[in-house]
Formats: sequence, structure tokens, C-alpha cells
Amino acid sequence: MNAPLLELRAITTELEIQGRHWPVVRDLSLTIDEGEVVGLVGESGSGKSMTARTILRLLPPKARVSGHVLLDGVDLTALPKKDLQQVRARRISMIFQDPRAHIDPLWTSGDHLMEGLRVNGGLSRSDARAKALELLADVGIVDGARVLRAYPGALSGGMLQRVMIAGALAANPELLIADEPTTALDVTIQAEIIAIFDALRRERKLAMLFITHDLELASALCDRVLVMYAGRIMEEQATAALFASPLHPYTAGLLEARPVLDERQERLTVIPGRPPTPVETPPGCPFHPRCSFVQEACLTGPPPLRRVEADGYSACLRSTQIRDQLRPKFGTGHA
Amino acid sequence: MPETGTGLLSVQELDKTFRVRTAAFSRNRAEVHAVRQLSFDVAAGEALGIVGESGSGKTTVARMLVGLEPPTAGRVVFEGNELSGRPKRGERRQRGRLMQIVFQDPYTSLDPRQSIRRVLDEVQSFHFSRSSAERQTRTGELLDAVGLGDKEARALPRELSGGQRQRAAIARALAAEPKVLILDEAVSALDVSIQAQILNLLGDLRREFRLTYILISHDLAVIRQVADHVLVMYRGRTVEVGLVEAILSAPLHPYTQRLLESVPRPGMSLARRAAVLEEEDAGCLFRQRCPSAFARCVVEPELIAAGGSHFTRCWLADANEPVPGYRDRDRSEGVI
Repeated sequence: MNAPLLELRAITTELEIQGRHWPVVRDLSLTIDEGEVVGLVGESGSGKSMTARTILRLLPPKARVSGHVLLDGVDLTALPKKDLQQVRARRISMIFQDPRAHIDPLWTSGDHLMEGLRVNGGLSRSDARAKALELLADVGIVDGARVLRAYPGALSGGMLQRVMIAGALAANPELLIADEPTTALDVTIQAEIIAIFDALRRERKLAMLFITHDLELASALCDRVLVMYAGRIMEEQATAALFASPLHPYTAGLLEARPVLDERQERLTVIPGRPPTPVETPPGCPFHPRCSFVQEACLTGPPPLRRVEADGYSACLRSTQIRDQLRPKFGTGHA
Repeated sequence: MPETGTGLLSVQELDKTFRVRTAAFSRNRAEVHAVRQLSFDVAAGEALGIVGESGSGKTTVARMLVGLEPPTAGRVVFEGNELSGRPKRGERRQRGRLMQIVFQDPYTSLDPRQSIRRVLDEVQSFHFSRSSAERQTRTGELLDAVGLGDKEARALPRELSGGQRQRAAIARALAAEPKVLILDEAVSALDVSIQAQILNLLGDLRREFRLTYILISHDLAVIRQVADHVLVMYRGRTVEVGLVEAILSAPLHPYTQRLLESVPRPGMSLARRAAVLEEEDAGCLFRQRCPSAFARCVVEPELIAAGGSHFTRCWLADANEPVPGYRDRDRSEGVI
């Protein structure tokens, strides 16, 4: 098997909160293969965005990181700032939830797209324009010439996010990190953006780290899903397997808590309590105060992520029991 | 058109136009038609869901119902009495006893400097002549009903978690003992595990207080869980209305169909679609995005009866339509 495109090895990221350092990402390891789309799913404060920002060192001041971020075997945590800039400009692109916060309102889409193509790609003005139109067509913008002339204020959120994706593709990166890229968009526009990501994966073999709070959304796009809670990976499985047979009680709880379209449920199954902030994270398994499967051993230390299935990992001491008990509820075993 | 005038609350041809700047700092103004001749009825004890995207006008409807925004035209009738579009102070008090609203962001309705207990006490003082002891008893009941304890009651809004704050906002709305509770994206910002707790709470409160709900949401699964009827809005227009089971199992309007297809789920079909840069303001408002659009769509249809309480604003539902209707039409998608 080839080495992964990106590997995070035992990453712990600490932020300064009220004068003290608190871990927001804890001992996290993950891999993304070439052309693979990996979903990182968690509720607010779970550390998913900080994981993404750790990869490109886009962290708040005073943040501390331990562990390694390997891109094709090269450790990005040890890279000088100048070389990291090159990685950001050419190899890993990132897009965010709110495109308006990441684009200059006084630049037209054309200025925004062509700047990168001319500076990093060394293209002439007319070549850059032709390339920009091509990129816009790739993201479903037919009337590219008009969009190039438009300022961000004149474009809808969905249209602007398409422009941002086009910009992220300009350098032909190997990896795209998308942090809640559709959360601010309408449902039908969200589906259109997800379809663009799906096409990029198929046509360009673009690898992606797709960050979302929405497990169902991740399932629509991702090959593999990692579920985060209180800075840790709780479960990692191929998408179909995760939905058919969750291994961690937190994942099962998330799947059961969502209302469904087919019928009104008498009562939704709830996870009691709420996710802890970094300051409140309890010792032992961070999920234990909310878990109906809790036993004494859960309080002694955070359980490591262990292999439970051929391609399924869980950070729960009772994974196999839970799997066997829950499987009838969720589906017919592995798809 | 669906019949109006029979329910607890009847909205009749409500219209809202805003004048907005065409660009930042520009003197040029354009008219935006936020709500277009909207009519619906809500019976006592019913839960009506209003679904639509941002800009569909659903929040403007809510603001007009509670008197925060004057309609450009149309009427809001409550138990047979027309309500003022621009309520004065005394009318506001009455209006608050009829309808209360809970927003997506609970900070909107909670004073940041007042404890939750104080907020609940003040709402009662405003609406009722009760002794301090009576108000305290009622505050305790309200806190119980929404699942907040004594500790949360003493806290300021910012000291609570998002879910607790939304419980407090619901308690504040219930303190006025309204007949209708309007929930404007009230669970949208909450994490899944907290959202389920609040949805269950809404079910409990509806039974306990015999409430009538108007639930505004972009999330069809949330609508399914709470609402009996659903009204689908697109760019200010009702495009489809009916029983929630009927509409979610057999949607007739192509926009409703698109909404349902867009609900994320494992294995959903991911069709690439061209982005629409500008939207036409004449004819069927969805026709530029519609895979089934045909010549007749340059004229906008009225709501067409589709059996029972089901209505849709689409020519394909017209029995006299020479173009084949939904059932036997080859529905080739507008895919790029």
C-alpha cells in the first residue's frame, strides 16, 4: 500500500483560554490517501476546525502543537514559514463557512481569481482570464464573464462559495480542506456544492478533508468518516459501515437523535446533557457522563482508538457489545 | 385558493415589499418583493410548518404576524378580529397575549443584564395583575416545563449553554400565555444532541399548554417531526401547501421536489447544476431552476387544487394542461 497523502500523527493542539493552555485536539491521528474524501464530523467545540487549522498552522496566537503533520512524508510542523506558504499556495487549499469573511469586498471575482493565477502560476493577464473562466465553468458557473466583473456584494452566498472553490482549485492542489463550506447556504444550494466536490473527486482525483457538524451530509460525500468529540476521534469507519453499524455509543446517539423524513417519531432519542468545553472535559472517556453504556473502567483513562472491524475503529471499551446490540436497530450489518 | 377565514389565525393576501439600496452607499433603490399575497389558515391546536430558503420571506411573515413589521398589503385576522399592521403600545400588549415568537438566536429576546427568573417575572408583570407570590409560583412552573433548574434561573443569559438559553427563550414566550407560539428557526443553530431535546420539549409543551405552533424552518426533518401541515415558500410565494405526510411523500411542485432531493443522506444522487445568476421576477418564480419548465410557465399559475387540502402553484397539476402532467412525464433533469 502507498503511503498516505496526508498523515496526522498524535496531534495535540492547545489554545490559551483564560490565561491557561487547554487541549482542543487530543492525541489525534488520521490519514488521507490520494483522491480520498475523508469526513471529520463533530458538534460545536469538538475540535474539528482546530484540527484543520493545525494542518496549515492557521491557529490563534499562543497555540501549542505537538505531534506531526506529514504531507507526502514531509513534516509540515517543522517547515519554515516560507516553505509552508508554498504548501498553502500550491498543494493544500482551504475553504471556509463564510466566504465573505475571506474575500476582499473591493476586489471583483476576477481580481480574486486572476491574482493567484498570475502570481503563483506565472500566467499572463489574458491566459489568467481564460483559466479563470475555465475554473468557473468547472464549478457550474455558465456566465463566467459576468461573474468575473462582479464584486462579492453583488453575488449570492452560493455563487460566492462557487467562486471560492474555483479559487481554491486554481493552483491544482492535491488536497482541499473544506471547513463547513455549505453550512451558511440553502439546502438546495448545499446539494449543488456537494455535487461539485463529488465531481472534483472523480474528475481530478482531488483528496478532501470535509469538516461538518452534519453526519448525514458527510455520508452523502465522504468515503470514510471520523467522528470527533471533545478533541478526540471516537469512531472511524467507511461511511456505509458507520451508518449500518456504528461502533461508538456517541455515533449511535447522534444517528438516533436526528428526526427523520419518513415519519414523526413519538419521541426522539436524546443524548442527555451537552458536549463539554475544553475546560470542562472530564477525565476518562470524555463521553462517559452522557453515555448509557458507561461502566467503572470508562472513568480511569480515555480509551484509545482500537480496531474493532477490518476497517472500523472505535474509542469505546465496549465497542463489540455495542455493535452487536445496536446492529438490529440500524441496518443489516455492513453494506 | 385554499379557503381562508375559518381558523384561529387567518392570514389573507399578505404582501410585503422592501425598498433596498442596489449597492452599498448607492442612492438607487430597488423594490424587493419579500412576501407575495400570502394566505393561510391555522386552526386551534394545529402545528403549521413554513419551509423555504433564505430570502423566501418566511421570517418576514413571522415578523408581520407578531407586529414587528407592517405589511404592505393584506390582513392578519385572529379569532375573527383584524389585527393592526402597526400596533400601538396597548395593542402590542394584547398582541403578546395572542402570539409569541422564539428566534434562532435567543439573545434577541432575552435581556443580557437580567437573570432568567427576573425575565419571567417581568413578562408576567407586563401582562397580568398578579401578586409577587403568584408570579413566583408561575415562574417555577414555567422553569419546570422547559426543564431549567434553580441554578439556571439565577443565571444571566450569557452564563447558559446554547440549549439552556433556547429553553429560557421558550419559557419567556410561554410566560405571556399566548395562544400561538411562532418558532423562527428556533432549533437550527443547536447541535444535534441538543436539538433533539428541544424538539421533544416542543412536543411536550404543545400537549401540556394546548398550543398552536407556527414552525419556520429550512429543515424538512424538523418540520416532519413537529408540523401537521406544511407551507412551502419560494421567493415570497406559496408554491405548495398541504398535509405534511402528503407533501413529503408525494411533492407536486418541482421546487418542493428539489428540496426533498437535496436533503443530505447516504447515497443521495449528486447532480451537477448550473448556477442561476439572476432570477426573473415575472412568470413562475422557479422556472429558471426548474427541470420541467415549459412555455406556459412565463405566466404564473394560481394555487391549483390537488386533492384534499393539497394545493400547488404549478401548471403540471392543471387538469386542462395539454402538456403531460407529473405522472406520465419523462422527467429529464436539468443536469450539466
